[in-house]
Amino acid sequence: MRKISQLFLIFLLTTLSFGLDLNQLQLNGLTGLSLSNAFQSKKENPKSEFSVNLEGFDLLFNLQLEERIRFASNVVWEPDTQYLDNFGNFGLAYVFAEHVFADEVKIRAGKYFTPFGTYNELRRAKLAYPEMEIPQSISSPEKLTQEAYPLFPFTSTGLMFLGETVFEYNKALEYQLSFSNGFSQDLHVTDVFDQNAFKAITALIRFDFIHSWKIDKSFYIDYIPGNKYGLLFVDGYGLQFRGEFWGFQSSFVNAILEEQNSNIKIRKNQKAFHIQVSRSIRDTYTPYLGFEWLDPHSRGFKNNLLMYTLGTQMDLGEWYVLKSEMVFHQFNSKNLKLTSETSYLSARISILAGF
Amino acid sequence: MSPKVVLFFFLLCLQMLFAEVSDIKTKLKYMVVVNQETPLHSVSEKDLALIFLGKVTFWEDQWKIQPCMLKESNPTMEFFLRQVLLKSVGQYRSYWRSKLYSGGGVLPKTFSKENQLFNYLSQNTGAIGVVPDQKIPAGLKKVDVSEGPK
Repeated sequence: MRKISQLFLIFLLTTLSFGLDLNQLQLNGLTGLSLSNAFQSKKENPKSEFSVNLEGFDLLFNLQLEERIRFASNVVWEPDTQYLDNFGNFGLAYVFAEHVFADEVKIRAGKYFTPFGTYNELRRAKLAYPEMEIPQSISSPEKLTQEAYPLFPFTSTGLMFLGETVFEYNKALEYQLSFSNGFSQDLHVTDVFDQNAFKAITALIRFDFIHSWKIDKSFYIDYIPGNKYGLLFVDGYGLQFRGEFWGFQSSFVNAILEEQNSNIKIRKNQKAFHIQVSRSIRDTYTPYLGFEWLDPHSRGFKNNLLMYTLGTQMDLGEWYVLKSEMVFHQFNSKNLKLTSETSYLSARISILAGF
Repeated sequence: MSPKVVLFFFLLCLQMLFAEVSDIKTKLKYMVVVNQETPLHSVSEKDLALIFLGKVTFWEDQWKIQPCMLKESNPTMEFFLRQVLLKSVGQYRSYWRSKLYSGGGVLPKTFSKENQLFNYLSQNTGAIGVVPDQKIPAGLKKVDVSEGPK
């Protein structure tokens, strides 16, 4: 699928260089800088790890090729080799063409964010939610504890049908249905070395049912090739409230992965839960409290992880945001990945600028 | 957790509960303007809201709607967002940031000056603009807005 991404990029550069109507092109971007510190409280040898990170640069192209066809791309540059593609520091978060038959029926072809749950499509939209990152227990649990496996690839390459039916103001039904490449043999490598086959199905239905309330239901099904894994089925639910002052978001995910372990087929059941409450003050300052729980293998030994988050977001202008956050991680002692201790505190301050 | 962290946490919770509420109480007049060639004479507040939230992008499934407005910091636009879209400026920005960075669509065009917006409207059939109530230049027409239950 990497070739498809490259072809799309060549297409974009070619169309731009042949002088398409620039009024039909919208360019946007995002960058940021963050300072972080992790505190580990060993009594004999207290340790702190300070780091300064450039969040990378996102450059978004939206080109209205004709009334019903839009071409969209998000080119990402990250200071370290970035995770989205295997192009060194550059990557494509998404690159697709979308045809609008009607607002209720659209078709999207190319590479796009896997339409699972509330957060995955927002993973590059750091200006759109108060937290520093989208909930890790759902987006990248494999980075938190050893036993955990990723629930879905961040991005998928394939075909997606999507649309929204509005019944009345703030009562709408939105759907996204994707047929895409899915995971490769190695679950921890996303779409770089896949089989270029449509083998994963993702679906998301979101319903705005009362003023400012939304519920969503999504699932991801993938048959992972090779001898090690079999079927992966992930089921997710979400609830959101965005009132004038209060905000509330919650998600629950339940996953089952078949794994071949010395002639025995086992089913690894992973669960994750996230809840966040926020309060907007004078429309610019948003403190929030969050809680995450991850149980990577609920039928195995007890190895869950708890994360408590406390943070604030301050809007400094139309496209400038200052965020600060503290996260307290609490691990079960049997399953340590990030630290040699069972708990640690991390603090982070980040300034983000978009256009 | 240290006592300082607990204290910070406690103060933050208090601030969340007793935060001051800012509200716009002054009623400002806005108007909806389109190109003379756009076959639109009236629009409901509900449809306006759906257009400026990017949920309705075609007029009767035939031609593309291009919403545009003055910057949200303009008091009349702030009033329009609260009255019609039922969103504060912060909520409106957050809504569009989500949509934009997730690949869901493009932002309504915004202009800092009214003459720039009028110029854009006069050149684009299908464009629909919101401005403070005033005399409009030739080539453009005012659209009646009907209030309706939201």
